[in-house]
Amino acid sequence: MRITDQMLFNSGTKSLMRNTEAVAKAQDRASAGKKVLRPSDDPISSTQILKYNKSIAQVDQFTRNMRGSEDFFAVSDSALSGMQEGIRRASELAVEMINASHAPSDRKIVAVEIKQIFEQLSASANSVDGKGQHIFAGNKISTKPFDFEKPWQGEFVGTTIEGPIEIVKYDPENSEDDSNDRLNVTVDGVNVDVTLEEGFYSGEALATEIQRQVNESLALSDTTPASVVTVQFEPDEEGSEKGHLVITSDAVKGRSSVVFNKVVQPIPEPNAPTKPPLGDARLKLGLVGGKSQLSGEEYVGDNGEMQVLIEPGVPLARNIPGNRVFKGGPDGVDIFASLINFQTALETSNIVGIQTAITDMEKATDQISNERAIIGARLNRLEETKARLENFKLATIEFKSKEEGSDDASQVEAFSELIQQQTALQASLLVQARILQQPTLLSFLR
Amino acid sequence: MPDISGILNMGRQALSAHQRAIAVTSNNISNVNTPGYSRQKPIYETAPPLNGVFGTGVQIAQVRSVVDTFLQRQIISGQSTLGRFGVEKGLMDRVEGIFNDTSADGIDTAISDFFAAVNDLSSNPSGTAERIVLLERGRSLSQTIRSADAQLKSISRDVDTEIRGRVDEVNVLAEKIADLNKQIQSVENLGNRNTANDLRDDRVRLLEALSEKIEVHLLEGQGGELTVTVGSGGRTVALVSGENAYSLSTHSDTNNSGLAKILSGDTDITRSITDGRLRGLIELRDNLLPAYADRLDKLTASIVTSFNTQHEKGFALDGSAGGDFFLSLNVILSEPSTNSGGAEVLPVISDASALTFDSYEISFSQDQFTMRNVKTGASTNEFMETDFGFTATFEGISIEIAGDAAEGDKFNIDIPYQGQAGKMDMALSDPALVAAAGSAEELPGGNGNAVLLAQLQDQSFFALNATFQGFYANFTGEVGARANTSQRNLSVEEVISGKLDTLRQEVSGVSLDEEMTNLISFQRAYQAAAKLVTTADELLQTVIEMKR
Repeated sequence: MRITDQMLFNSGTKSLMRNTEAVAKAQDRASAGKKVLRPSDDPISSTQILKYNKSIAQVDQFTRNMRGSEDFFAVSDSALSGMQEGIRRASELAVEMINASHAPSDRKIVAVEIKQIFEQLSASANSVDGKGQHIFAGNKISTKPFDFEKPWQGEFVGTTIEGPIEIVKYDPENSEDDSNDRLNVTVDGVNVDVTLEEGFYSGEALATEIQRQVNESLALSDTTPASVVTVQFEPDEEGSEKGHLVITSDAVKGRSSVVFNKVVQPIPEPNAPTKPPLGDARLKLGLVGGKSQLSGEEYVGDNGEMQVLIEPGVPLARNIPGNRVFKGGPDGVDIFASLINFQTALETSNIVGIQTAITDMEKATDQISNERAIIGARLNRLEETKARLENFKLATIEFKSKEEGSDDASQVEAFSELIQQQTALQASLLVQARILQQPTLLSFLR
Repeated sequence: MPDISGILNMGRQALSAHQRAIAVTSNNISNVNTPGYSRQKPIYETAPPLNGVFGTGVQIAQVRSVVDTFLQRQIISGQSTLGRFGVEKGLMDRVEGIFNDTSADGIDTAISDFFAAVNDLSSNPSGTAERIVLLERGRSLSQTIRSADAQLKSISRDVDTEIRGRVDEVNVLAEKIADLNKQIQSVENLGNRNTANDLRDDRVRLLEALSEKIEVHLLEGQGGELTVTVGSGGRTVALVSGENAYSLSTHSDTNNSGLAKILSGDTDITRSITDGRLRGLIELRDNLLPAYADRLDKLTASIVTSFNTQHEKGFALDGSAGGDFFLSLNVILSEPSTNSGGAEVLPVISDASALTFDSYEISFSQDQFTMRNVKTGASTNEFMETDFGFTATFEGISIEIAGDAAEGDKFNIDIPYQGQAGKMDMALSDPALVAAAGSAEELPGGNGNAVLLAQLQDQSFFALNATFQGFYANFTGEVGARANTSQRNLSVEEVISGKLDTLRQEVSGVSLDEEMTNLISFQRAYQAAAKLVTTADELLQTVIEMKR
């Protein structure tokens, strides 16, 4: 083989350049701490790296979402647990006050405490989280969900009656009294007497007559400003005479409501006339055993449950709408109405009302416990998801570092690669120097 | 038998021959580092003998270049491949740099950040800060995609400029080769056996430079003149023929958005160039870069249509229905003027994830509407009758037709997604108008729509055959693989070309040791020839002195 001068120099220069390039590349990798610096370094790995990057970023985001939910859960739970305390106290007082040995004046004092509990609960129901959002307002986070300041209505829905209804006059001579002409209803703790004429009434006529008499009552018109009480007959079906009486008031007397006690059993007063108490007859008019409730308009939130993603495609609700926990569903109890009913019952020493309060408070406790259980379950799910995502993230980071060559093993590899390339470069430098110094024929020609 | 003057003459001839040999050697030594120089060799031969018996000395028959023509051809054609891969590698490095999310923040990060902001919004839908951040991230995502698109376009423009420049260079080289053809012919047609060694070396050098730019086919004629052709098949054209060069020209091609086409005379050879740098440039400009831009357009179109479609289902803080989030990309309807019916067609995007971004045609024939995907041929004729007319949903587009169509009426439906990456921008600027709520009733805390928007990040799209980021990751992998292949191809070609060069050096390179040896050998011969002249002179002297 003929070896020419250019061959020697060219091949030397080429290998020098090649080795310098290799050293530069190894240096890049070692100093960046990874092997894949550009997609072309390893197209498949770089595709994987992007997919891992996305997963890691998503885990971070979902963790952030969950942190927001956790805050919500914590605030909600501590508000609910405080409320449970208040209800427990109210329940104790109810059990205590039902005892006949207590004088009406004692009960009036307790009524004040119940009012305090009401205040405490309504403040809790309007709790805000760290961002100032109302946690029990459903989606209406920027509004106070429970507004007890504004005028609101009480409502009483009677049990079913069927017209025409016969009104029978009270007859002292009749031993089997089946009269139903004398009613007593209580509005804001004010008793109103109603006396109906004998005869047959349609549901509607009955409602009109009761409404007229209640509103004309002197006792009620004393309240300032005057309450207006509406009494309506609501047929079950259009045109039917079967239905119930609904009594509503727009009473604005402080924070109390129109309350129609289920059964009025006035405390016997000394020297009372021997005629039967007013209102026993209400049973026949469906005004006993009906449901007394706030008409619900004091809740200005909605029943929205805010879903937040905790995993791809997996949303988890973070809030508890206030109407569900405090006002109950169809079978639940309106906690605030019950407290007010309770308060009124205490003020009027209405034993049946107090009895109702005992069962109401029990139901209220259950209602709140249920919601706390839901929060607990969600929190568990959150913790479990968080732990799983965290593990997933760690695993992904490991896969990623293997893929991009930033794990320990690859680091060592990168450094030894760098050293190898440097050695190779030194070797080729040495060779090049030798070639340059290699004696030629000229060195020997004299 | 030669007489004394014959001997003197022989000495003179030898002196001249060896002097020429030394001149050739010195030319070799001088050109030891000249690239492409082929070493030359004096060919000695004996002078015609006297009476066929007595030798009459030496002469240099010719000075021959030591070349391997086969190897030379290989080197010339190897330059084409080297040129193509060289330019491809350089440009793919640039393209890869645009989509290098491996080391730096790019489109992938922008998408992640954008959806992180959507998630943050879903956590606090009424938060003004969250809304502002989302708009900001949307803006930054648009900006990132636009800038990638602009860079792709700028590379495409650079490539086009280079194509025009390279064609000029090809023309200059062709001129020079034609000129050399002429000179070589005139030297070699003198009737003696001389070859135009240095001119031929020059020509090979020029051919290498030419071949690096455009693959050439060579044909050498009897007189040493070379015909150079380029192109292939029916579009093979001569670049150089003998002393004539036929220059190529570039024109803006209106069918290819004003990019250059290459003509020889009237023949368009743009797509017929088989190899070389120009082939690499054309391939990038007309195939690769448009394909990459198309991917980016599809990605952008999918983001825009899906996000807008979902956003429009939500409600803003003021209770109004959501509008366009990004500048809208809508279905376009066109109908030929030949339609004779009065039907009105209203196409809307109903499911962005099912869109194909193909063109569709709705035709009415035999009392039936048919909607057909022009590209795939898939079609539906399941139009349902409604109060106002007919309706159908096909591949993510829902169509409502009111009024009566006439037999043979046609309607064309398109989603003009091309160029979308360059146009992506925000339509929304008021943070309060981000439609996070799923219904007007759930305001301000409702996040129903924000959650659905956030889930788009993991939605798979028909047109992408993956999620946004899955598609993008595959896309960068594709770019990386191509860049990787270019690098590999280039280094393989470099090794091959290095090997060929070594082989050529082995045959044609100058070895100083060899030349020194030759030099000494020629010098000695020259000294001996000089002695011959002196000796002949002395002989003559002796003859002259004999008379005294």
